[in-house]
Amino acid sequence: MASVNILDFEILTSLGDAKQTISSLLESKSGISSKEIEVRIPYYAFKDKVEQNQESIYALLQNIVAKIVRKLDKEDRKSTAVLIGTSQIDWNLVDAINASAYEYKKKPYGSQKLSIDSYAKSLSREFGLNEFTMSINTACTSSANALLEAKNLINAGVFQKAIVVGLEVFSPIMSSGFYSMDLISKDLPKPFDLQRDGLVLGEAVGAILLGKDESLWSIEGGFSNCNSQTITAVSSSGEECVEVMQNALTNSALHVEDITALKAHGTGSLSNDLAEINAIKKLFCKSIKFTALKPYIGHTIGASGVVEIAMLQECIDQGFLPKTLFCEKPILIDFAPLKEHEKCESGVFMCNYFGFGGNNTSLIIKKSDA
Amino acid sequence: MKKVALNIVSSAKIFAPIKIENLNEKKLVPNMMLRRRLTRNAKVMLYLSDQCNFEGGKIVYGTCFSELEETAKIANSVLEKRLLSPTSFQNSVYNTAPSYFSIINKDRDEIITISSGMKTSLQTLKTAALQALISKQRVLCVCIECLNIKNIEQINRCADYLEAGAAVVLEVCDDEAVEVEQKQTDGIIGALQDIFSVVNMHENGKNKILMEL
Repeated sequence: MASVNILDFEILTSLGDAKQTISSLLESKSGISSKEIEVRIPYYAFKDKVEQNQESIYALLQNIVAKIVRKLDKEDRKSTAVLIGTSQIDWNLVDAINASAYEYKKKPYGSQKLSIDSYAKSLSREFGLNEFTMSINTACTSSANALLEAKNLINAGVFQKAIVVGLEVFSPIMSSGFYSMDLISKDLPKPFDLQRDGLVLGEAVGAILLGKDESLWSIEGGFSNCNSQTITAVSSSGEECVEVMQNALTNSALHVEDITALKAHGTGSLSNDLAEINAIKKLFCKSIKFTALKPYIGHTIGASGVVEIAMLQECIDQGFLPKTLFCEKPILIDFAPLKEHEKCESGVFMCNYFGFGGNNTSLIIKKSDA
Repeated sequence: MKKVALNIVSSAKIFAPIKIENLNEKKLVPNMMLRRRLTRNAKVMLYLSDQCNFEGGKIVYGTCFSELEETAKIANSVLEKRLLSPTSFQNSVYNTAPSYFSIINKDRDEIITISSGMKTSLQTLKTAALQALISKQRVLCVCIECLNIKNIEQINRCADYLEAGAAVVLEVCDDEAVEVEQKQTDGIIGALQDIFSVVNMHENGKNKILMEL
């Protein structure tokens, strides 16, 4: 599996843009606040509220993509595809849901109603990009899978470049759903901690530009599959996670000992963290440096693939591996996430994403020495 | 743009004005507890994949409206300030149907879920073509829309068949292939028209198609 290079990235999280986010990480600051659903729940919200309508969400995307495309000339843009990974609902659904839920008379549904892919289409038109677009919705793995698909498209020679966007904004339905499943923490996400009591959702948007131009950063390979014990979870032994991590290594022609550090999925939920830590132990046997980024920006679901890779890149570019906040007593003493920031300027990094429906993805990125 | 020549290994389609009957659920999912959890899209997917003799491998699944019935249940719960049903929530994500397929058939391969409004099946076919090109393996491309929810008649002006789905198993070939014929299937929602065209071609003996990426 040939690698593709990561040429540029931009993010916006509850902590701000990439520079602001990493400044907060350096100071061990979390972007946590709260939101009201049936009850008040902890939540990582954007500093400037994004309304739940197509115009506001598109403006958010427009702002991020504008920063990415400004370095691309007209010819470059024509051979650049746009892929979006998100778990946002399709706006086509809104009319249908309204019809079911509200008693007032509705207008007939118009088939021209915008879909989630229409964001990508609008971006393509506005910035003169290739008309090919793709919107992937596989829950927590959405934008990680979009990165893999973009890599496939570039390696197949279909496009020279691809912009992969990860998007997630606050959704009361999504938050209520997680709350109903008792998956939301009472206060903080504590990945891999014995006292963890759930995840905390968050908003984020990010974009990564992939291509073959020279860059210190690359996606070496990855693997995605669907394998779960139930519709929501993998088994506590973590065998499904081991499988996807091992295949990601194989696809990248790498071995366990080549991995400098791991960015875990690390949601803070009881079952997924247990599965992941058991998988990490099985795969790496002795030890591995690893961290989880969700205590800083929350679980940004469909956006997490792009946003957490971009965060990790920015940290390494600034010379450090970030510590994991809020993990006081690790599940496994021998396999504890980083307690302090560690110096790191290059290396090979495994990035895990494990989602609803057993959709699991592991990507391997690399920063060469300058 | 790159064009990929594809061999259609097998195909299937199904549709009904209100609700598709006889989806063979008992045979396809003997475990009663699991069967009772299945969503409408999952049942249709299991039926179509069985009709295509597809037991496992790469899947590209497309749906514009996703699990509408489960999503509507959630919306009603929010409106009436009731606690959401965990089952409805976990069954409401876009990749629910292929996830059930993966559990039931122990399929451990890659599954991608695409949603693109009325272009959903076209984008799903393109993604399946890409997957087939990259992997050199057979890929199941399946698209489903189940719209049979309360009050749907108030807004529906674009589909006579509230439940419909189609599937094709595709593989890359070097043979001469033809462009997909753009013939509308009356009454089928726009989101499924492109894959219905491909299935119709296969039923008429045309097994090789060109898909532009």
